[in-house]
Amino acid sequence: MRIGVKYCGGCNPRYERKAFVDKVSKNLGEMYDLVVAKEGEIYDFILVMGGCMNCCANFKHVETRRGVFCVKSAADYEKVLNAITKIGE
Amino acid sequence: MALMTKEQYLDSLRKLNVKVYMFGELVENFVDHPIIRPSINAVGMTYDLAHDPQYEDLMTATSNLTGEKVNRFTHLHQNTDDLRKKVKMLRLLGQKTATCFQRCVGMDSFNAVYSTTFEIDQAHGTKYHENFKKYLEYVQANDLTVDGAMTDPKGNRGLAPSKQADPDLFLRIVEQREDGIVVRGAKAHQTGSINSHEHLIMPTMAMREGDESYAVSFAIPTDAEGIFMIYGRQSCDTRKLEEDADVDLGNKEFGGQEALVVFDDVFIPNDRIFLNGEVEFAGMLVERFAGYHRQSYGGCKVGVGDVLIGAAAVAADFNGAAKATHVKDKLIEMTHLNETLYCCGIACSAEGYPTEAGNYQIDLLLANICKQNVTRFPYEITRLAEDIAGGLMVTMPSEKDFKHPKLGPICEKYFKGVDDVPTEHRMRILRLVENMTLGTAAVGYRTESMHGAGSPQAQRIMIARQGNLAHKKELAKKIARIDEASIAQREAAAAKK
Repeated sequence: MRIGVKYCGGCNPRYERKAFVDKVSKNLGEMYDLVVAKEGEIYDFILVMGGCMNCCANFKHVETRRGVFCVKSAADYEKVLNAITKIGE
Repeated sequence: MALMTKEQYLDSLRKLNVKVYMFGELVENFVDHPIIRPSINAVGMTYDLAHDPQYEDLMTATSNLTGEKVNRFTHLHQNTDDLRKKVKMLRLLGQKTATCFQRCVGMDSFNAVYSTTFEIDQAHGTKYHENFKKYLEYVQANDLTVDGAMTDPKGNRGLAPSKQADPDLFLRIVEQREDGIVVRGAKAHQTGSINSHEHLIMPTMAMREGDESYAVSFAIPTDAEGIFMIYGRQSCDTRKLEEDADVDLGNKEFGGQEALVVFDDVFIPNDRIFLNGEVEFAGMLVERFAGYHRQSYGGCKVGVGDVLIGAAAVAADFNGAAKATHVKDKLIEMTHLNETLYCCGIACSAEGYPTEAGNYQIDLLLANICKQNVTRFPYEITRLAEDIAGGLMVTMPSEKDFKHPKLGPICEKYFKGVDDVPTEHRMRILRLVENMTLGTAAVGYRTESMHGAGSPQAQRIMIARQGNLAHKKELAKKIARIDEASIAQREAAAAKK
Protein backbone atom coordinates (compact mmCIF):
# COMPACT_ATOMS: atom_id res chain seq x y z
CA MET A 1 0.00 0.00 0.00
CA ARG A 2 1.33 3.41 -0.99
CA ILE A 3 0.82 6.11 1.60
CA GLY A 4 1.46 9.74 0.71
CA VAL A 5 2.83 11.87 3.54
CA LYS A 6 2.04 15.57 3.38
CA TYR A 7 3.78 17.77 5.95
CA CYS A 8 2.58 21.13 7.22
CA GLY A 9 5.33 23.77 7.31
CA GLY A 10 6.29 23.00 10.91
CA CYS A 11 6.43 26.59 12.23
CA ASN A 12 5.56 25.68 15.82
CA PRO A 13 5.43 21.87 16.03
CA ARG A 14 4.46 20.30 19.34
CA TYR A 15 6.14 16.99 18.42
CA GLU A 16 8.72 15.69 15.92
CA ARG A 17 6.77 15.08 12.73
CA LYS A 18 9.54 13.30 10.85
CA ALA A 19 10.32 10.99 13.78
CA PHE A 20 6.59 10.20 14.01
CA VAL A 21 6.49 9.17 10.34
CA ASP A 22 9.66 7.07 10.70
CA LYS A 23 8.13 5.31 13.69
CA VAL A 24 4.88 4.61 11.84
CA SER A 25 6.81 3.32 8.83
CA LYS A 26 8.95 1.03 10.96
CA ASN A 27 5.94 -0.31 12.83
CA LEU A 28 3.86 -0.97 9.70
CA GLY A 29 6.62 -2.87 7.91
CA GLU A 30 7.49 -3.30 4.25
CA MET A 31 3.94 -3.84 3.05
CA TYR A 32 3.32 -0.15 3.54
CA ASP A 33 5.32 2.34 1.53
CA LEU A 34 5.32 5.81 3.11
CA VAL A 35 6.48 8.42 0.59
CA VAL A 36 6.41 12.20 0.39
CA ALA A 37 3.12 13.16 -1.27
CA LYS A 38 3.42 14.94 -4.59
CA GLU A 39 0.85 17.14 -6.31
CA GLY A 40 -1.23 15.35 -8.95
CA GLU A 41 -0.39 11.83 -7.76
CA ILE A 42 -2.87 9.33 -6.35
CA TYR A 43 -2.14 7.43 -3.15
CA ASP A 44 -3.95 4.64 -1.35
CA PHE A 45 -3.98 6.73 1.77
CA ILE A 46 -2.76 10.17 2.82
CA LEU A 47 -1.15 10.99 6.11
CA VAL A 48 -1.21 14.74 6.79
CA MET A 49 1.44 15.59 9.34
CA GLY A 50 0.26 18.70 11.17
CA GLY A 51 2.62 19.98 13.85
CA CYS A 52 -0.21 21.32 15.99
CA MET A 53 -3.99 21.06 16.37
CA ASN A 54 -4.52 23.52 13.50
CA CYS A 55 -3.07 21.07 10.93
CA CYS A 56 -2.89 23.80 8.27
CA ALA A 57 -1.19 21.70 5.55
CA ASN A 58 -2.77 22.14 2.14
CA PHE A 59 -3.41 18.71 0.60
CA LYS A 60 -6.17 19.55 -1.85
CA HIS A 61 -3.90 18.78 -4.85
CA VAL A 62 -3.06 15.28 -3.63
CA GLU A 63 -5.53 12.50 -4.38
CA THR A 64 -6.35 9.46 -2.26
CA ARG A 65 -8.24 6.24 -2.95
CA ARG A 66 -9.07 5.26 0.58
CA GLY A 67 -8.88 8.18 2.89
CA VAL A 68 -6.94 10.80 4.81
CA PHE A 69 -5.74 11.05 8.38
CA CYS A 70 -4.71 14.45 9.79
CA VAL A 71 -2.18 13.92 12.54
CA LYS A 72 -2.32 16.73 15.08
CA SER A 73 -0.32 15.41 18.00
CA ALA A 74 1.96 12.57 19.06
CA ALA A 75 -1.06 11.08 20.83
CA ASP A 76 -2.53 10.22 17.43
CA TYR A 77 0.02 7.45 16.93
CA GLU A 78 -2.21 4.46 17.74
CA LYS A 79 -5.12 5.95 15.81
CA VAL A 80 -2.91 6.30 12.74
CA LEU A 81 -1.78 2.68 12.96
CA ASN A 82 -5.35 1.51 13.38
CA ALA A 83 -6.62 3.59 10.48
CA ILE A 84 -3.95 2.35 8.09
CA THR A 85 -4.02 -1.30 9.08
CA LYS A 86 -7.81 -1.31 8.89
CA ILE A 87 -7.62 -0.20 5.27
CA GLY A 88 -4.87 -2.71 4.56
CA GLU A 89 -6.97 -5.64 5.79
CA MET B 1 13.95 27.97 -12.78
CA ALA B 2 10.85 28.64 -10.70
CA LEU B 3 12.50 27.45 -7.49
CA MET B 4 16.22 28.02 -7.07
CA THR B 5 18.37 25.97 -4.71
CA LYS B 6 20.81 27.66 -2.35
CA GLU B 7 23.69 26.70 -4.66
CA GLN B 8 21.93 28.24 -7.65
CA TYR B 9 21.30 31.34 -5.57
CA LEU B 10 25.00 31.60 -4.71
CA ASP B 11 25.94 31.17 -8.37
CA SER B 12 23.46 33.86 -9.37
CA LEU B 13 25.02 36.30 -6.90
CA ARG B 14 28.49 35.59 -8.25
CA LYS B 15 27.32 36.70 -11.69
CA LEU B 16 26.35 40.15 -10.38
CA ASN B 17 28.79 43.04 -10.49
CA VAL B 18 27.77 44.42 -7.09
CA LYS B 19 29.84 47.31 -5.80
CA VAL B 20 30.09 47.17 -2.02
CA TYR B 21 32.57 48.94 0.26
CA MET B 22 33.65 47.78 3.70
CA PHE B 23 36.30 49.30 5.98
CA GLY B 24 37.05 51.86 3.26
CA GLU B 25 37.75 49.32 0.55
CA LEU B 26 35.86 47.88 -2.41
CA VAL B 27 35.05 44.21 -1.66
CA GLU B 28 36.35 42.02 -4.49
CA ASN B 29 34.34 38.85 -3.81
CA PHE B 30 31.40 39.65 -1.56
CA VAL B 31 29.89 36.14 -1.74
CA ASP B 32 32.83 34.54 0.05
CA HIS B 33 33.71 37.44 2.34
CA PRO B 34 33.74 36.08 5.93
CA ILE B 35 31.71 39.01 7.29
CA ILE B 36 29.12 38.96 4.50
CA ARG B 37 28.77 35.22 3.83
CA PRO B 38 26.69 34.33 6.94
CA SER B 39 24.02 36.79 5.78
CA ILE B 40 24.01 35.13 2.35
CA ASN B 41 23.62 31.74 4.04
CA ALA B 42 20.56 33.07 5.88
CA VAL B 43 18.92 34.08 2.59
CA GLY B 44 20.06 30.73 1.18
CA MET B 45 17.88 28.99 3.74
CA THR B 46 14.80 30.58 2.11
CA TYR B 47 15.76 28.69 -1.06
CA ASP B 48 16.76 25.39 0.54
CA LEU B 49 13.64 24.93 2.66
CA ALA B 50 11.41 25.40 -0.39
CA HIS B 51 12.74 22.06 -1.65
CA ASP B 52 12.22 20.19 1.63
CA PRO B 53 8.92 18.25 1.86
CA GLN B 54 8.77 18.98 5.58
CA TYR B 55 8.56 22.73 4.92
CA GLU B 56 7.41 23.29 1.35
CA ASP B 57 3.77 23.75 2.39
CA LEU B 58 4.79 27.02 4.03
CA MET B 59 7.67 27.89 1.74
CA THR B 60 5.86 27.72 -1.58
CA ALA B 61 2.60 28.95 -3.08
CA THR B 62 0.77 28.98 -6.40
CA SER B 63 1.20 32.25 -8.26
CA ASN B 64 -2.02 34.08 -9.10
CA LEU B 65 -0.17 35.64 -12.04
CA THR B 66 1.08 32.50 -13.77
CA GLY B 67 -0.42 29.50 -11.96
CA GLU B 68 3.11 28.25 -11.33
CA LYS B 69 4.57 27.03 -8.05
CA VAL B 70 6.70 29.86 -6.63
CA ASN B 71 8.67 30.62 -3.51
CA ARG B 72 6.27 32.25 -1.04
CA PHE B 73 8.69 35.17 -0.73
CA THR B 74 7.64 36.22 -4.26
CA HIS B 75 3.92 35.58 -3.77
CA LEU B 76 0.94 37.95 -3.69
CA HIS B 77 -1.34 37.00 -0.78
CA GLN B 78 -4.62 35.65 -2.18
CA ASN B 79 -6.53 35.12 1.07
CA THR B 80 -6.13 35.22 4.84
CA ASP B 81 -4.67 31.72 4.77
CA ASP B 82 -1.77 33.09 2.69
CA LEU B 83 -1.29 35.89 5.22
CA ARG B 84 -1.16 33.39 8.11
CA LYS B 85 1.19 31.09 6.23
CA LYS B 86 3.52 34.01 5.62
CA VAL B 87 3.82 34.57 9.39
CA LYS B 88 4.38 30.86 9.96
CA MET B 89 7.04 30.74 7.26
CA LEU B 90 8.88 33.66 8.85
CA ARG B 91 8.78 31.98 12.24
CA LEU B 92 10.18 28.80 10.72
CA LEU B 93 13.06 30.69 9.11
CA GLY B 94 13.86 32.51 12.35
CA GLN B 95 14.11 29.11 14.01
CA LYS B 96 16.43 27.75 11.31
CA THR B 97 18.80 30.75 11.18
CA ALA B 98 18.53 32.56 14.56
CA THR B 99 18.93 35.81 12.69
CA CYS B 100 17.32 38.13 10.16
CA PHE B 101 17.02 36.26 6.84
CA GLN B 102 16.38 39.49 4.95
CA ARG B 103 13.97 38.37 2.25
CA CYS B 104 10.67 39.55 3.76
CA VAL B 105 11.13 43.20 2.73
CA GLY B 106 10.84 42.15 -0.89
CA MET B 107 7.65 40.18 -0.31
CA ASP B 108 6.11 43.03 1.66
CA SER B 109 6.97 45.58 -1.01
CA PHE B 110 5.54 43.35 -3.80
CA ASN B 111 2.18 43.21 -2.06
CA ALA B 112 2.14 46.93 -1.25
CA VAL B 113 3.20 48.08 -4.72
CA TYR B 114 0.79 45.66 -6.43
CA SER B 115 -2.31 47.03 -4.71
CA THR B 116 -1.21 50.67 -4.73
CA THR B 117 -0.33 50.77 -8.44
CA PHE B 118 -3.78 49.37 -9.22
CA GLU B 119 -5.38 52.32 -7.45
CA ILE B 120 -3.00 54.88 -8.96
CA ASP B 121 -3.90 53.65 -12.43
CA GLN B 122 -7.61 53.90 -11.60
CA ALA B 123 -7.14 57.52 -10.56
CA HIS B 124 -4.63 58.69 -13.16
CA GLY B 125 -4.95 56.34 -16.15
CA THR B 126 -1.29 55.38 -15.80
CA LYS B 127 0.21 51.96 -16.61
CA TYR B 128 2.09 51.31 -13.38
CA HIS B 129 0.10 48.21 -12.43
CA GLU B 130 0.81 46.52 -15.77
CA ASN B 131 4.48 47.47 -15.39
CA PHE B 132 4.57 45.94 -11.95
CA LYS B 133 2.76 42.74 -12.89
CA LYS B 134 5.29 42.10 -15.67
CA TYR B 135 8.11 42.82 -13.27
CA LEU B 136 6.77 40.45 -10.63
CA GLU B 137 6.29 37.68 -13.19
CA TYR B 138 9.99 38.08 -14.00
CA VAL B 139 10.86 37.94 -10.29
CA GLN B 140 8.74 34.82 -9.73
CA ALA B 141 10.01 33.02 -12.84
CA ASN B 142 13.61 33.55 -11.73
CA ASP B 143 13.00 33.19 -7.96
CA LEU B 144 14.81 36.45 -7.25
CA THR B 145 15.60 38.04 -3.93
CA VAL B 146 14.52 41.67 -3.97
CA ASP B 147 15.33 44.38 -1.45
CA GLY B 148 12.20 46.41 -0.78
CA ALA B 149 13.88 49.75 -0.05
CA MET B 150 11.97 52.49 1.72
CA THR B 151 14.01 54.40 4.31
CA ASP B 152 15.66 57.59 3.13
CA PRO B 153 18.44 59.27 5.16
CA LYS B 154 15.85 62.04 5.90
CA GLY B 155 18.25 64.77 7.13
CA ASN B 156 16.30 67.28 9.25
CA ARG B 157 13.27 65.29 10.45
CA GLY B 158 11.30 68.51 10.90
CA LEU B 159 11.44 69.43 7.20
CA ALA B 160 9.68 68.06 4.12
CA PRO B 161 11.83 66.43 1.41
CA SER B 162 11.73 69.50 -0.82
CA LYS B 163 12.70 71.82 2.08
CA GLN B 164 15.95 70.05 3.05
CA ALA B 165 19.20 72.00 2.84
CA ASP B 166 20.64 69.12 0.80
CA PRO B 167 18.00 67.98 -1.72
CA ASP B 168 19.53 64.49 -1.99
CA LEU B 169 18.63 63.48 1.58
CA PHE B 170 15.46 61.95 0.16
CA LEU B 171 15.87 59.87 -2.99
CA ARG B 172 14.56 61.93 -5.90
CA ILE B 173 14.08 62.23 -9.63
CA VAL B 174 16.71 64.58 -11.06
CA GLU B 175 15.77 64.16 -14.71
CA GLN B 176 12.62 63.20 -16.61
CA ARG B 177 13.44 61.68 -20.00
CA GLU B 178 11.34 60.29 -22.82
CA ASP B 179 12.53 56.76 -22.08
CA GLY B 180 12.62 56.95 -18.27
CA ILE B 181 13.91 58.89 -15.29
CA VAL B 182 17.26 59.52 -13.60
CA VAL B 183 17.33 59.26 -9.78
CA ARG B 184 19.77 60.42 -7.12
CA GLY B 185 19.93 59.88 -3.37
CA ALA B 186 20.28 56.95 -0.98
CA LYS B 187 18.36 54.37 1.02
CA ALA B 188 19.61 53.76 4.56
CA HIS B 189 19.62 50.67 6.84
CA GLN B 190 18.96 48.40 3.84
CA THR B 191 18.61 44.85 5.12
CA GLY B 192 19.99 42.27 2.71
CA SER B 193 20.62 44.79 -0.08
CA ILE B 194 23.94 43.25 -1.15
CA ASN B 195 22.42 39.74 -1.23
CA SER B 196 19.53 40.88 -3.42
CA HIS B 197 19.33 40.53 -7.19
CA GLU B 198 17.11 43.58 -7.44
CA HIS B 199 15.98 46.64 -5.50
CA LEU B 200 12.36 47.79 -5.38
CA ILE B 201 12.34 51.41 -4.31
CA MET B 202 9.46 53.12 -2.50
CA PRO B 203 9.05 56.62 -1.02
CA THR B 204 9.77 56.90 2.69
CA MET B 205 6.68 58.80 3.83
CA ALA B 206 3.44 60.51 2.84
CA MET B 207 4.07 63.51 0.60
CA ARG B 208 2.41 66.76 -0.40
CA GLU B 209 2.31 69.08 -3.36
CA GLY B 210 5.81 70.34 -3.98
CA ASP B 211 7.40 66.95 -3.26
CA GLU B 212 6.58 65.45 -6.69
CA SER B 213 10.18 64.59 -7.56
CA TYR B 214 10.41 62.56 -4.31
CA ALA B 215 7.23 60.55 -4.91
CA VAL B 216 8.90 57.78 -6.87
CA SER B 217 8.82 53.99 -6.96
CA PHE B 218 10.78 51.74 -9.33
CA ALA B 219 12.76 48.51 -9.63
CA ILE B 220 16.41 48.23 -10.63
CA PRO B 221 19.06 45.48 -10.73
CA THR B 222 21.40 45.66 -7.74
CA ASP B 223 24.45 45.96 -9.98
CA ALA B 224 23.04 48.71 -12.22
CA GLU B 225 25.37 51.52 -13.22
CA GLY B 226 25.53 54.21 -10.52
CA ILE B 227 24.52 52.01 -7.53
CA PHE B 228 26.95 51.16 -4.74
CA MET B 229 26.69 50.14 -1.07
CA ILE B 230 28.60 50.93 2.11
CA TYR B 231 28.39 47.96 4.50
CA GLY B 232 27.03 48.55 8.01
CA ARG B 233 29.10 47.53 11.04
CA GLN B 234 27.71 45.14 13.62
CA SER B 235 28.77 44.58 17.19
CA CYS B 236 31.60 41.95 17.31
CA ASP B 237 31.67 41.75 13.48
CA THR B 238 35.47 41.41 13.18
CA ARG B 239 35.41 38.18 15.19
CA LYS B 240 34.44 36.66 11.84
CA LEU B 241 37.85 37.69 10.47
CA GLU B 242 39.75 35.80 13.19
CA GLU B 243 41.56 32.68 12.02
CA ASP B 244 39.52 29.46 12.49
CA ALA B 245 36.83 31.37 14.39
CA ASP B 246 34.02 29.06 15.49
CA VAL B 247 32.94 28.95 19.15
CA ASP B 248 33.47 32.69 19.67
CA LEU B 249 31.06 33.51 16.84
CA GLY B 250 28.06 32.00 18.60
CA ASN B 251 26.37 31.50 15.23
CA LYS B 252 29.03 30.63 12.66
CA GLU B 253 26.66 29.80 9.82
CA PHE B 254 24.10 32.61 9.74
CA GLY B 255 23.86 36.39 10.17
CA GLY B 256 22.10 39.55 9.08
CA GLN B 257 23.23 42.43 6.93
CA GLU B 258 22.53 46.15 6.48
CA ALA B 259 24.00 48.77 4.21
CA LEU B 260 23.65 52.30 2.89
CA VAL B 261 22.65 52.04 -0.78
CA VAL B 262 23.72 55.04 -2.86
CA PHE B 263 22.05 56.00 -6.15
CA ASP B 264 24.45 58.20 -8.06
CA ASP B 265 22.36 59.39 -11.02
CA VAL B 266 20.83 56.01 -11.93
CA PHE B 267 18.70 55.63 -15.06
CA ILE B 268 15.35 53.85 -14.66
CA PRO B 269 13.53 52.79 -17.86
CA ASN B 270 9.80 53.56 -18.14
CA ASP B 271 8.66 49.93 -17.80
CA ARG B 272 10.32 49.71 -14.36
CA ILE B 273 8.57 52.80 -12.93
CA PHE B 274 5.60 52.31 -10.53
CA LEU B 275 5.12 55.85 -9.19
CA ASN B 276 6.30 59.09 -10.76
CA GLY B 277 5.11 62.23 -9.04
CA GLU B 278 1.59 61.20 -7.91
CA VAL B 279 2.21 62.55 -4.40
CA GLU B 280 -1.18 61.59 -2.97
CA PHE B 281 -0.33 57.87 -3.32
CA ALA B 282 3.02 57.98 -1.55
CA GLY B 283 1.28 57.72 1.84
CA MET B 284 -0.85 54.75 0.74
CA LEU B 285 2.21 52.87 -0.45
CA VAL B 286 4.12 53.57 2.76
CA GLU B 287 1.18 52.63 4.98
CA ARG B 288 0.58 49.34 3.18
CA PHE B 289 4.23 48.32 3.13
CA ALA B 290 4.63 49.28 6.80
CA GLY B 291 1.50 47.28 7.67
CA TYR B 292 2.83 44.13 6.02
CA HIS B 293 6.24 44.60 7.52
CA ARG B 294 4.83 45.09 11.02
CA GLN B 295 2.96 41.82 10.53
CA SER B 296 6.24 40.16 9.46
CA TYR B 297 7.83 40.86 12.83
CA GLY B 298 5.14 38.75 14.48
CA GLY B 299 6.75 35.80 12.72
CA CYS B 300 10.49 36.30 12.22
CA LYS B 301 11.29 37.65 15.68
CA VAL B 302 9.24 34.85 17.22
CA GLY B 303 11.34 32.24 15.42
CA VAL B 304 14.55 33.86 16.61
CA GLY B 305 13.00 34.07 20.08
CA ASP B 306 12.36 30.30 19.95
CA VAL B 307 16.10 29.74 19.52
CA LEU B 308 16.99 32.17 22.31
CA ILE B 309 14.54 30.53 24.72
CA GLY B 310 16.04 27.16 23.79
CA ALA B 311 19.57 28.49 24.30
CA ALA B 312 18.68 29.85 27.75
CA ALA B 313 17.14 26.50 28.71
CA VAL B 314 20.23 24.60 27.52
CA ALA B 315 22.48 27.03 29.43
CA ALA B 316 20.43 26.33 32.56
CA ASP B 317 20.87 22.58 31.97
CA PHE B 318 24.63 22.98 31.53
CA ASN B 319 24.88 25.25 34.60
CA GLY B 320 23.00 22.71 36.72
CA ALA B 321 20.25 25.25 37.40
CA ALA B 322 17.42 23.81 35.30
CA LYS B 323 15.43 22.57 38.28
CA ALA B 324 15.42 25.93 40.08
CA THR B 325 11.85 27.22 40.27
CA HIS B 326 12.78 30.77 39.28
CA VAL B 327 14.60 29.50 36.17
CA LYS B 328 11.58 27.44 35.11
CA ASP B 329 9.36 30.47 35.68
CA LYS B 330 11.62 32.73 33.61
CA LEU B 331 11.50 30.28 30.72
CA ILE B 332 7.71 30.26 30.97
CA GLU B 333 7.68 34.06 30.93
CA MET B 334 9.93 34.13 27.86
CA THR B 335 7.62 31.68 26.10
CA HIS B 336 4.56 33.71 27.10
CA LEU B 337 6.07 36.90 25.65
CA ASN B 338 7.20 35.16 22.48
CA GLU B 339 3.86 33.48 21.81
CA THR B 340 2.07 36.78 22.47
CA LEU B 341 3.98 38.26 19.54
CA TYR B 342 2.95 35.27 17.43
CA CYS B 343 -0.69 35.77 18.46
CA CYS B 344 -0.47 39.33 17.13
CA GLY B 345 1.05 38.19 13.83
CA ILE B 346 -1.62 35.55 13.35
CA ALA B 347 -4.44 37.86 14.45
CA CYS B 348 -3.65 40.69 12.03
CA SER B 349 -3.42 38.06 9.27
CA ALA B 350 -6.69 36.32 10.14
CA GLU B 351 -8.45 39.69 10.02
CA GLY B 352 -7.01 40.54 6.62
CA TYR B 353 -9.14 41.78 3.72
CA PRO B 354 -8.95 42.04 -0.08
CA THR B 355 -7.64 45.22 -1.70
CA GLU B 356 -9.15 46.64 -4.88
CA ALA B 357 -6.38 44.88 -6.81
CA GLY B 358 -7.39 41.54 -5.29
CA ASN B 359 -4.41 40.69 -3.11
CA TYR B 360 -4.93 40.62 0.64
CA GLN B 361 -3.94 43.28 3.16
CA ILE B 362 -3.49 42.71 6.90
CA ASP B 363 -5.61 44.41 9.57
CA LEU B 364 -3.71 47.64 10.10
CA LEU B 365 -4.56 48.24 13.75
CA LEU B 366 -3.61 44.72 14.82
CA ALA B 367 -0.39 44.80 12.75
CA ASN B 368 0.65 48.00 14.49
CA ILE B 369 -0.15 46.49 17.89
CA CYS B 370 2.00 43.52 16.84
CA LYS B 371 4.99 45.68 16.01
CA GLN B 372 4.54 47.87 19.10
CA ASN B 373 4.87 44.73 21.22
CA VAL B 374 7.92 43.71 19.20
CA THR B 375 9.60 46.98 20.23
CA ARG B 376 9.39 45.72 23.83
CA PHE B 377 9.12 41.96 24.31
CA PRO B 378 12.39 40.84 22.68
CA TYR B 379 14.20 43.17 25.10
CA GLU B 380 12.58 41.43 28.06
CA ILE B 381 13.23 37.99 26.55
CA THR B 382 16.86 39.03 26.08
CA ARG B 383 17.10 40.26 29.68
CA LEU B 384 15.75 36.98 30.98
CA ALA B 385 18.10 34.98 28.73
CA GLU B 386 21.08 36.91 30.13
CA ASP B 387 19.75 36.37 33.65
CA ILE B 388 19.54 32.60 33.17
CA ALA B 389 22.82 32.29 31.23
CA GLY B 390 24.92 33.99 33.90
CA GLY B 391 27.78 36.48 33.68
CA LEU B 392 30.14 34.02 32.04
CA MET B 393 28.57 34.73 28.64
CA VAL B 394 30.45 38.05 28.63
CA THR B 395 33.53 37.25 30.71
CA MET B 396 34.84 33.94 29.39
CA PRO B 397 38.16 33.77 27.55
CA SER B 398 38.49 33.30 23.81
CA GLU B 399 38.45 29.94 22.07
CA LYS B 400 42.17 30.41 21.40
CA ASP B 401 42.71 30.27 25.16
CA PHE B 402 40.69 27.06 25.31
CA LYS B 403 42.91 25.58 22.59
CA HIS B 404 46.18 26.80 24.18
CA PRO B 405 48.39 23.94 25.49
CA LYS B 406 48.89 25.54 28.90
CA LEU B 407 45.76 27.67 29.33
CA GLY B 408 43.35 25.17 27.75
CA PRO B 409 43.32 22.66 30.63
CA ILE B 410 42.91 25.50 33.12
CA CYS B 411 39.94 26.90 31.18
CA GLU B 412 38.49 23.38 30.94
CA LYS B 413 38.80 22.94 34.70
CA TYR B 414 37.44 26.27 35.87
CA PHE B 415 34.68 26.77 33.31
CA LYS B 416 33.19 23.32 33.75
CA GLY B 417 29.49 23.19 34.61
CA VAL B 418 27.68 19.89 35.22
CA ASP B 419 29.93 16.82 35.04
CA ASP B 420 28.49 15.10 32.00
CA VAL B 421 28.63 18.11 29.65
CA PRO B 422 31.91 19.03 27.93
CA THR B 423 33.08 22.52 28.82
CA GLU B 424 33.18 23.40 25.11
CA HIS B 425 29.44 22.74 24.82
CA ARG B 426 28.81 25.16 27.67
CA MET B 427 30.98 27.76 25.94
CA ARG B 428 29.12 27.25 22.67
CA ILE B 429 25.66 27.81 24.10
CA LEU B 430 26.78 30.87 26.10
CA ARG B 431 28.37 32.37 22.98
CA LEU B 432 25.10 31.82 21.13
CA VAL B 433 23.26 33.75 23.85
CA GLU B 434 25.92 36.46 23.60
CA ASN B 435 25.59 36.56 19.80
CA MET B 436 21.83 37.02 19.97
CA THR B 437 21.66 39.45 22.88
CA LEU B 438 24.62 41.74 22.24
CA GLY B 439 26.66 40.38 19.32
CA THR B 440 26.07 40.51 15.57
CA ALA B 441 22.58 38.97 15.77
CA ALA B 442 21.46 41.56 18.33
CA VAL B 443 21.27 44.02 15.44
CA GLY B 444 18.33 42.02 14.16
CA TYR B 445 16.80 40.80 17.40
CA ARG B 446 17.06 43.98 19.46
CA THR B 447 17.54 47.30 17.65
CA GLU B 448 15.80 46.11 14.49
CA SER B 449 12.88 45.09 16.72
CA MET B 450 12.84 48.68 17.97
CA HIS B 451 13.26 50.62 14.72
CA GLY B 452 12.73 48.20 11.84
CA ALA B 453 9.36 48.61 10.06
CA GLY B 454 9.11 51.97 11.80
CA SER B 455 10.08 53.23 15.24
CA PRO B 456 7.64 52.87 18.17
CA GLN B 457 6.11 56.31 17.71
CA ALA B 458 5.16 55.50 14.12
CA GLN B 459 3.03 52.62 15.41
CA ARG B 460 1.50 54.78 18.14
CA ILE B 461 0.36 57.31 15.55
CA MET B 462 -1.31 54.51 13.59
CA ILE B 463 -2.85 53.05 16.75
CA ALA B 464 -4.29 56.49 17.59
CA ARG B 465 -5.75 56.77 14.07
CA GLN B 466 -7.19 53.29 14.00
CA GLY B 467 -8.15 52.88 17.65
CA ASN B 468 -11.50 54.72 17.43
CA LEU B 469 -11.43 56.33 20.86
CA ALA B 470 -14.75 58.09 20.18
CA HIS B 471 -16.46 54.70 19.94
CA LYS B 472 -14.97 53.61 23.26
CA LYS B 473 -16.16 56.85 24.92
CA GLU B 474 -19.69 56.22 23.65
CA LEU B 475 -19.61 52.69 25.06
CA ALA B 476 -18.63 54.02 28.48
CA LYS B 477 -21.27 56.74 28.45
CA LYS B 478 -23.98 54.27 27.60
CA ILE B 479 -23.03 51.90 30.41
CA ALA B 480 -22.77 54.84 32.84
CA ARG B 481 -26.21 56.05 31.66
CA ILE B 482 -24.85 59.41 30.55
CA ASP B 483 -27.39 60.73 28.06
CA GLU B 484 -26.03 63.93 26.53
CA ALA B 485 -29.37 64.94 25.03
CA SER B 486 -31.14 64.87 28.40
CA ILE B 487 -28.23 66.70 30.03
CA ALA B 488 -28.62 69.44 27.43
CA GLN B 489 -32.37 69.57 28.13
CA ARG B 490 -31.79 69.89 31.87
CA GLU B 491 -29.23 72.63 31.34
CA ALA B 492 -31.64 74.50 29.07
CA ALA B 493 -34.44 74.19 31.63
CA ALA B 494 -32.17 75.44 34.39
CA ALA B 495 -31.12 78.40 32.30
CA LYS B 496 -34.80 79.26 31.62
CA LYS B 497 -35.60 79.34 35.33
